[in-house]
Amino acid sequence: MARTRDQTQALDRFLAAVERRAFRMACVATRSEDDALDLVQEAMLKLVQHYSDRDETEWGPLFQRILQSKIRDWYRRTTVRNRWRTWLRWGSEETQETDPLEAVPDVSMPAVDDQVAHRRAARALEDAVRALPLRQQQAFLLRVWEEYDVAQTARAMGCSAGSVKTHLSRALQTLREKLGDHWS
Amino acid sequence: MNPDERNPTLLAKAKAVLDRQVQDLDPRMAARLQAARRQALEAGPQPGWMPWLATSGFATAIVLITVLWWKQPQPQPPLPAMEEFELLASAEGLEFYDDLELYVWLADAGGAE
Repeated sequence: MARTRDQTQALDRFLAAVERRAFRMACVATRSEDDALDLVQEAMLKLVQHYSDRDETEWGPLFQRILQSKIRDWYRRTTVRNRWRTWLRWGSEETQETDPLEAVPDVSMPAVDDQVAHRRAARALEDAVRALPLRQQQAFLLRVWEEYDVAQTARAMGCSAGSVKTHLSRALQTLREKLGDHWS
Repeated sequence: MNPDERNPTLLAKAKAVLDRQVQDLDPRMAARLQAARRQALEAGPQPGWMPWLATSGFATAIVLITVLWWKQPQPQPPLPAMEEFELLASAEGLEFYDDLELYVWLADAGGAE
């Protein structure tokens, strides 16, 4: 069924509102801007193609469910690929990671101290969150950043509420240990 | 327990940092995201027959593989030797065949002379 103009505009507004956060979330999981962009685009496409006729209030949880599922699939594929690379011993040259934050140019000119402090904080947080197992990352970002409740997080992650609590508790414990006194 | 009750500073600071990362997103990347969104919106809804096409294609492939496997030549029991077949079809008495070696030997001996 074709979408109406209003529906298309509503979808456009919705996706514009969530795309940047979704991208940052995918970046944390994939450590690659290109891979993150691909995942976000695939999630957008799936939402538009399959769920555009759903009520607008359902789009948020549906989009997160699709995105988290895509991230999980990406993670599985990459894990398998890396295992093969390690086994074949030809992946060592490609494991150098670049920090996407370093590629972000300074468009505004905030005070230098503030900028440096923010970068340091962002770097520390991102390193700590990236080091978490995927499920803990997802639980942390959905509960803390997206402010989803336990049930919404469980639906987005495709697991039980109990699992969400466990993943989040472990994530917070690790982050508190890693980020130290400056953050708690 | 609500995570906010356990680590209020950690969580508030983490949220602030993540929010700022979104605000400070590279304009080039923001433009790529916008292009991705436009592309997704232009793609339109998937036609209703697409999932059926994929399913029927998969089913066809399964049927084809099964048929091909079924039609593969199966190992046959060895054919009875021609001599055994002639023996069964022959009107000669079984004693003749019992003495066949002797007759062959006699024929060879006669030829040699």
